[in-house]
Amino acid sequence: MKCVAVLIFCLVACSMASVNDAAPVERKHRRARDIIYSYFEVSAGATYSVSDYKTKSSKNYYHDLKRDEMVYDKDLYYNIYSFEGYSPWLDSKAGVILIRRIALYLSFGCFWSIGEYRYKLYSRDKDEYSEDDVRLRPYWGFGIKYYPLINEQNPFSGFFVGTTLRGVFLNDNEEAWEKYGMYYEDGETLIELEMGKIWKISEHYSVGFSIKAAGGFGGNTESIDGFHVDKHPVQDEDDVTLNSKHIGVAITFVRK
Amino acid sequence: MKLSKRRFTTFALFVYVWLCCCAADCYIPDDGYYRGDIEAIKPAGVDSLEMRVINNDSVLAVEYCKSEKEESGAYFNYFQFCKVSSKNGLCDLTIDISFFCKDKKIELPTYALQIRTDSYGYPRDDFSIYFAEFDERKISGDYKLETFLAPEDTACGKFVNYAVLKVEEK
Repeated sequence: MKCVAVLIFCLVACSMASVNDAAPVERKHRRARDIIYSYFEVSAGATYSVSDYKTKSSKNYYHDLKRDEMVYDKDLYYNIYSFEGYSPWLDSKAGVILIRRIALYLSFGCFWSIGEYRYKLYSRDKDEYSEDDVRLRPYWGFGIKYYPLINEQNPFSGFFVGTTLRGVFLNDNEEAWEKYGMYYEDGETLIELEMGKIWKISEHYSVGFSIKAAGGFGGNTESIDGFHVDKHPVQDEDDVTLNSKHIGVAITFVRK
Repeated sequence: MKLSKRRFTTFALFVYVWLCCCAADCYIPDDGYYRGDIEAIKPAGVDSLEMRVINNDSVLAVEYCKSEKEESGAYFNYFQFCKVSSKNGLCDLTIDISFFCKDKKIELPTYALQIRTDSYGYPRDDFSIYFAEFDERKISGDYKLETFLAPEDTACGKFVNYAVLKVEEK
């Protein structure tokens, strides 16, 4: 049995050695070049977006101003801010593609949140404030994209899946939050998942589409030291919640 | 002069001991570590506020607040008083707060405060007490909502949200 195993090992070793010897010099060079390429991508699209920020009450007492009574509510929330609308966006990616399959990139871009912004001081309040606005959200990040099929004869060649982690600056939110006495951080972390397909239009250029889904986390209040009356409260910084959701499509131009 | 290895070691040891003695001498326990504040913050809806701090029927302090500024109030520090006056490991205080609006004086329910002290009179628990209108959106920090102190006489307003807030130092 041991002899058979040694024989199989020797045969496999010989066959591999013979394959390498037989490989032409030109093909060897080509393989080395195939390992890494530069990768650029520009895409434009739009997403349907909803955002929801709120702080869970820890004391659970609500001052009912109409009846001028204190009400205990174990499901009380305050500083409630929400958004619903559309977000057209522009994105650029630059990086490298490894073995023609795995793209690693940095991502820069921005989107505009166009829609209705709503504010409520306490969840039991009947009054709600609403504003229609357009707010710019620049971002930067990094990500990975995987092209599983590279055989151009395959009709599914150019199919990809990817994920990008982004830091988004929530411009213009701070001013609006302060107007209603709400103090959330003006940035959030966005995790985007996408899948799509590209078609070659020349040796290096491709065009395609992608479907995207993204979730934004963060938006907690800033911490301040000590006890203060008439200053904004501190929210637990470890309390990471899913604040925003986005789903949409994009047209993509790729150079690789 | 050439130092031998043994002399150098002895010299280093003396320097080390001397530095340790200096460090020990420099350490002075800080009495200010204890906050021990009692503060009644005037609601915007009243003209002025009076806070009386009482121990065994004797009035220790009468403090007023007439300021229109935010977070301004009548203030008393119980730490020094308890350090010299606690009995049987306890320092009992009662706090009477009154609101003034126009020519009316509205009294709030009395709040009793018991502070545990050690054999030297130092408070065992380091905390401060604030009396303020409660709105969770506007109060920051780690605090405990003890109770509400709404006045029975509503001539100046109901003040149902005037609360006792306990802030423990950690």
